Amino acid sequence: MTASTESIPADPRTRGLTLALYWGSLVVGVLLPWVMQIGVEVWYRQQAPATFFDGLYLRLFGPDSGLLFLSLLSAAPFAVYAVFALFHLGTAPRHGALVMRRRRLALLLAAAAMIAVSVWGHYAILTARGSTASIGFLFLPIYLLIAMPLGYGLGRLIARRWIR
Amino acid sequence: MTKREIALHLALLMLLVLAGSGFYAYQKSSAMVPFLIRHLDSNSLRERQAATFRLQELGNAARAAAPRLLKLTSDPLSRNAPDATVALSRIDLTAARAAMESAQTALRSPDLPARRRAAETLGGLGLFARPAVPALVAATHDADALVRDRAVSALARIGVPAAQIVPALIAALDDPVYHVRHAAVAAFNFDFPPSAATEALPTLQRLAQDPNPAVKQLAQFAAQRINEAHPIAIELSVARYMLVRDRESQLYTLRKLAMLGPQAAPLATDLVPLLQHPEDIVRYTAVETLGAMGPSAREAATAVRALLEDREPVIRDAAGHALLLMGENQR
Repeated sequence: MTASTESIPADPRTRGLTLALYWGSLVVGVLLPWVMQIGVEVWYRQQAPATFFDGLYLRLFGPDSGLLFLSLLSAAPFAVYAVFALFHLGTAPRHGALVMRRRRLALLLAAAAMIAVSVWGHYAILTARGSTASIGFLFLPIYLLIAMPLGYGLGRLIARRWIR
Repeated sequence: MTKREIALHLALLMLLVLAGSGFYAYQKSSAMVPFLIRHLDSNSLRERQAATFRLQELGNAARAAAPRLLKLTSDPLSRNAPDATVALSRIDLTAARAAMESAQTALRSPDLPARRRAAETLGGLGLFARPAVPALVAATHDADALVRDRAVSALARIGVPAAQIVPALIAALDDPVYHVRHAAVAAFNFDFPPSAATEALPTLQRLAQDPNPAVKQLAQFAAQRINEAHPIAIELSVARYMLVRDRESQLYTLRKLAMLGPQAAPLATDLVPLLQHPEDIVRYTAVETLGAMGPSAREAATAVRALLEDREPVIRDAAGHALLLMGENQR
């Protein structure tokens, strides 16, 4: 996590993975709410996919919040993850191959935990019958921010046991 | 990765966030009004609704949309006429008054669908439909149950002192049609401040044995709500907090205060800043609420008198009416 002024040994594979995690998590964070909404509309509510896109552009910027605001709110923890991954894995090569491999596994598990919690949260909120269920969207980022260190910690524990 | 590479990717992300925020702000600005007006003519109901809601959010800045929205409010084929009515009341008071007068006339029309639409429209106008209260009270005796149902719901949502409408709503609690009774019970449950509905308690307790399970359950809740009503001072404290929040919270709270009438007078001076609010609908609703408080709100009379010079004629009229109710002269 320390970015020193000296240059860090080049490692094309880690560099590629770091950038994939950085930009990939941002893309997943932004797109996942939409995928979940379309999924629930089409498979759970048996709606034609076209109905979701009807007036979508106008609804994106609707009063109070708007769909875009909600999706960006859900993406915020993924942005935190992205910046963490960029520093943590991007600077890993200078700590040696072992540390790099352990960090890689821990970050992948953190991402998996966040995606799992996000999918579960969106599904639970979108399929809830209560009229106030959408308040859950305000709390979902907090759950994701909790899931991230938990997933990372689990990854480090597994890595310490299996990656030597 | 080098430090420079990391900084570059972070800067790219910041640029994306900045560009996105700018685009979002532009989409929420009044520059979108012509685009939104075009979508009021869309074939898709969802698009029309979305455009209407966004125009409503823009308030007076969307005044250019008023003529088109006014047409929508009286179009029998438009399924978003009630939404258009609410939006109109936030955008252009003169146009909203035209919609209210047209609905008030339609409420006495022999055309049944027109009467049903009119009752629903008036309910969406809030305090703006105050002049239509006598017509709505008469409509609670309409031969058609749906007109009665909508008239009852509308009366509860307008926000006039409870004494003016409670007798009509208590009568509706004994309506032979269950959904009219349900509308009346719902009004006491969700719309009335509990302290303004104590008169209805005996009828609600009787309705707690209604043969219709939905009416029965809601009547039990309503009776319990009135029985456990907080002292008026607590209701007013909550209202004081709500009055400094967003526009829709302010309008909701003002309607509740208007229902309390003179009981809400301790908050009269809290309403004075709202009389200078930039949005017409807030100034209008605030002055109507002060009028509903009557002579007990006299300490706000000077601020109300200033509105006799307001640029909006509907507000000038409302200020004159409020001064009359407060027992003050207009000079």
